[in-house]
Amino acid sequence: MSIDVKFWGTRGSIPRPQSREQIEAQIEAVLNAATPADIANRESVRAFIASGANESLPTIYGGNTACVQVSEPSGPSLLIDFGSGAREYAAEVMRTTGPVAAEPYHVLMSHFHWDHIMGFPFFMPAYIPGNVIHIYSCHDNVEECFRRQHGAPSFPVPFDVLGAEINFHIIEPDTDLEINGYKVRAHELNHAGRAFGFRVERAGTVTVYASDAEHKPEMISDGYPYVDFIRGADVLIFDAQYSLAEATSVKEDWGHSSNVVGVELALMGDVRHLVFFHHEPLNNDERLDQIVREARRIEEIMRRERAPLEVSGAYDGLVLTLG
Amino acid sequence: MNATDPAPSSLKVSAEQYADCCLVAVSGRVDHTNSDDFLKDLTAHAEKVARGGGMVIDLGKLDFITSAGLRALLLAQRAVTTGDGKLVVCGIGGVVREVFRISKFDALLNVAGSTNEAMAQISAEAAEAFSG
Repeated sequence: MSIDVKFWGTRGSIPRPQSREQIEAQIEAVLNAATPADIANRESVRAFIASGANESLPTIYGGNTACVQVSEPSGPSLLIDFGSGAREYAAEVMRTTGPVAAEPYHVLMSHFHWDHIMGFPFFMPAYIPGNVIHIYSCHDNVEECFRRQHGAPSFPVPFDVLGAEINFHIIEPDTDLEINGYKVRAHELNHAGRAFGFRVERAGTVTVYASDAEHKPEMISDGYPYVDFIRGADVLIFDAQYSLAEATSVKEDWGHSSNVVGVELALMGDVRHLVFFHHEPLNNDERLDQIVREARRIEEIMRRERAPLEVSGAYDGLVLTLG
Repeated sequence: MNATDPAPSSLKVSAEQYADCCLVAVSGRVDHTNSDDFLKDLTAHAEKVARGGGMVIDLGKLDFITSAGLRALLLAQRAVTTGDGKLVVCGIGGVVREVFRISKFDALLNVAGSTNEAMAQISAEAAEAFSG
């Protein structure tokens, strides 16, 4: 039995659509890398692009904000956060299973900064009678937060118009719970207004979603509770929005971490795969690729006797299969 | 402590005064197991820097540094500059240089190419006392 972790939105703070200039630069790079045979016809073009276009493109990270799905193929699913990526998730669901889902939706909410909740008004299943949505949060004002953004002046449709049955559940941190067939444990993260990470286990796999969090270097010790929270995770989804220099100086107390600290913590916690997330909207694809490459070098430097840690950057549409 | 964690790291910090500059030499490794001690040592020396004076931290014999060690250097800089002093780091090489570059601490701290250059950035008297 395997578990898929699908990233519907990987940006932090605000969505970042691609600009015309970026798209034109990508087209130019691909065309410059192509031979006449590569672009001879539709099939050869598709094959050329599918093969990576001679590595002419950086990773295309996308621009939607935080939304991650953990699911078992043909089995139960959890959604984490309602960033703008939730709109794409909803569109996929409507396309594949229709307007009324056979099973309820189960959604874990890390916190309510707008990049993590802005997708809910565009989550089409919420408008359709017959759908059931369960929303889980460690914040006792979860319902208020959803209602507040769904009415005037922020949004023209009031929350009470939604046709689905929507249930809010307040959960305790650092307590093992069963949610839709998954063992789930929440843990508080250092972030303004309090954010919570989620450790999600099923079928012998462990996925930890731990965004948004500022791990100050002085917090890192052998007894740091976060290290136990992430221990042995197959995938750690980690907020590496700033450089270490930024996070310890001008952006100290802004609530985010760096690739360097991500590697340090993941190595301490015996994590298998560290995945950077909540990308800084000012960073383009090339810069995000550089952050990942540099983190891999930090991992080589800091690994010592530990098993190698895989390091990647999440992009919109990425699917990791565990187990 | 996790079984795969290394033993507490070795670290040596020594200091010598040259005119108005305190030259601190660091050898070994700095990581989360000893960064508190590293910070205490640096802070103790930083607090003794005379107003308008300086501190040079020579990392030439430092094998390894983590985010906690970098933070200690940043706090030492703040302590020295609070007294209108100047802090310069020198001798970074090997993997330490890579950590500085990747973390972007090479833009945050004043980094000199050599100890002579670092001392000269503090004052002519410090440079002369060091080279003499």
